[in-house]
Amino acid sequence: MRLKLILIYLLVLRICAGEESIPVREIEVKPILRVNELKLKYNFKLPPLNPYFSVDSKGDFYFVEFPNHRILKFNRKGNLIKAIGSIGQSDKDLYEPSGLFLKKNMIYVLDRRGLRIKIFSTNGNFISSIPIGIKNARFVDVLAVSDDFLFLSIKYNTKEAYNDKELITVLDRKGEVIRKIGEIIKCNTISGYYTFNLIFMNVVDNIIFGSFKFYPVIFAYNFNGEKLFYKDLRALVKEIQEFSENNEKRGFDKPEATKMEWGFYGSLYCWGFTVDKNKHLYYAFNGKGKKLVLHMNERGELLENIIVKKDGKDVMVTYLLTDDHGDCWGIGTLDYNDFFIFKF
Amino acid sequence: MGFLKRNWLYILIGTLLLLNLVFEPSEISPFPLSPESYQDLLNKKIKGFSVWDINGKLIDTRKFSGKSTFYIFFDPSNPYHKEVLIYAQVLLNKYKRKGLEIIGVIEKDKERALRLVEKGRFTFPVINDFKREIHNFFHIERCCGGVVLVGKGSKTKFISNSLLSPEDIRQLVEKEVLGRINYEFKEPERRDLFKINQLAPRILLRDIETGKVMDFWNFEDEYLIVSFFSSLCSICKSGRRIETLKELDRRLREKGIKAKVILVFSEPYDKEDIENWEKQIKMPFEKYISEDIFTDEEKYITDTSLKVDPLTIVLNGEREVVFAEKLLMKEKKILELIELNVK
Repeated sequence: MRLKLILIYLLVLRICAGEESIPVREIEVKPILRVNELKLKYNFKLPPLNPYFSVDSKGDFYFVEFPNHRILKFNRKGNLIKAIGSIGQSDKDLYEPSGLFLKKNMIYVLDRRGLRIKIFSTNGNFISSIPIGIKNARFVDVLAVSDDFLFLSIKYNTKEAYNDKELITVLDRKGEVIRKIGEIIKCNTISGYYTFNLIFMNVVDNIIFGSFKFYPVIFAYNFNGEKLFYKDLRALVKEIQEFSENNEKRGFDKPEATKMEWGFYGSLYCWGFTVDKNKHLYYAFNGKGKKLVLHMNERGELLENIIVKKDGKDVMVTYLLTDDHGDCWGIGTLDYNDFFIFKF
Repeated sequence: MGFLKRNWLYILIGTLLLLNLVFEPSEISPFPLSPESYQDLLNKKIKGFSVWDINGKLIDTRKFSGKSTFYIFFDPSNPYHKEVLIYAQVLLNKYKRKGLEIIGVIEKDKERALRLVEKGRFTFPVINDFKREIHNFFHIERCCGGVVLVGKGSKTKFISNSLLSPEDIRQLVEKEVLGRINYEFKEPERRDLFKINQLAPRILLRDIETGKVMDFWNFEDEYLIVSFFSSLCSICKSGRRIETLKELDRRLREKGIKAKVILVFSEPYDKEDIENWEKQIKMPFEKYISEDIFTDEEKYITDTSLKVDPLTIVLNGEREVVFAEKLLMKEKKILELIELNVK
């Protein structure tokens, strides 16, 4: 009898667990700075999605102005304080800056075409230039910085796209390669390889957390390259599963099925990704009419879905960032026109 | 003596030929072997050299000492490269007095380059580097063109092994010759040429097959569907727009509507470019070349991003605009709206 009761109890538990829905939390945010005001005031060219953006300890904002090869520093009132760099190849110059990281009031800029990491003080003074010790880089993207190391996502010049275990390249402070880690998403074409392996990356306590932009997967590796987790979010979030099914019907969400070359494949799953001081992960997803920020613990387990609101309306979060103190920031919009910075 | 008297003309010609051989400028001999990386060349003094340009004129780069010289490596058959050169000429007109010099460098297609120079009224020399000595020295690959800036002190200041955008070249030129970059530069906007319910402007079209020049009024069809293609329009290049136009053509035929679809390629396309393009994507429509409607030379440079967007318009029998594509309009929407407006 007791055994039967225990079995029934376990059965009920299992059924309840199966039906358990993910908690949803709504947070109302206040715009700290409107990006469009900067654009109007300074003719500042910011890409609508995936900007390179950061915040320093004073709360000043930094944007990469990619078409003008420079970094613009704004205060909280939206006044331009400093323009750092201009097109060129001398130490102080920038040539396609495409990564920005602030650490201990130093600005680290990935100088993509110059294949260097340039370091400036927050008042714009040039500190140093680290040559990236790689000869066969085809495309360098994303920069993260820890106390001792630099982390980049480098696509290498290879005949095949299958250069696995090379998603993230770890460099020392002299720019020498320490190791390469991370599984890639395999696909048949070089351009598909680039698309599906575009990532966001954060490093906290030498654990490398990341997400693929064009594939619904998050991951974490330790510094030695051992996989801590690798999760397909389709299994966790119904909206992502539906979004993926819809994309698969349209035929561009299966990298293995991609045949054409030199196109841009895939659909954007991850609009922003960051990790806070408690190693909690935040993942911005906008698809199928849903605007969610997934909140996960350090093991990648989903804790809740956050709906960011402004004036009671759902915000499309288009970028996420953690500052040097471990606090989280975002860029969002209600209508694709008025992009604003908020803290949460 | 009699021998000399009889043959003095031949002797003179022979001597001149010999002298010409002796004093013919060496082809880039001052260049050392190619360094391992182009970055190793930065800030290095480059010796001057003499070479013939494609017009047979001797170019001595030592004369450019004290000037800012941009070497633009290009492929004369690449429409985008041609576009960049057109802007380079505009920049040269503007900044020549401030010490800007431009030298074009090709490795093949001398005849095409000659035509381009003539058509674009380029005043800068173009060197035929068919042995790829200059290319190899600066690590300029075969596919992509490149830009090298040799500053006033004859030192290399910038090397790119792919061709820069016109806007990047403008910034580099201004930084070099003015010492500052004008970031307030107002980007030209696409001229709003096609206004709904208004007569289309007169644009001259050159038939790529016959060379005949005509305008929209020369077509007898009731409706004229005009799709403008530019060198940067990815929807055009991928063939997606062609598929839309084919589907549109099929639907209109089914309905018995007399409509003609034509493709209009903006300059700097020429017939060969379009034929090369057609080897990859079949374009079963009449093809014309027009003046570049997207470029406003008075503003001396254009944001190339404007050219990324395709443009399809529909004109009725009166040649009034009944449909004009808006930015970011999807292919499906274009089909729907054209069908709605063409009855």
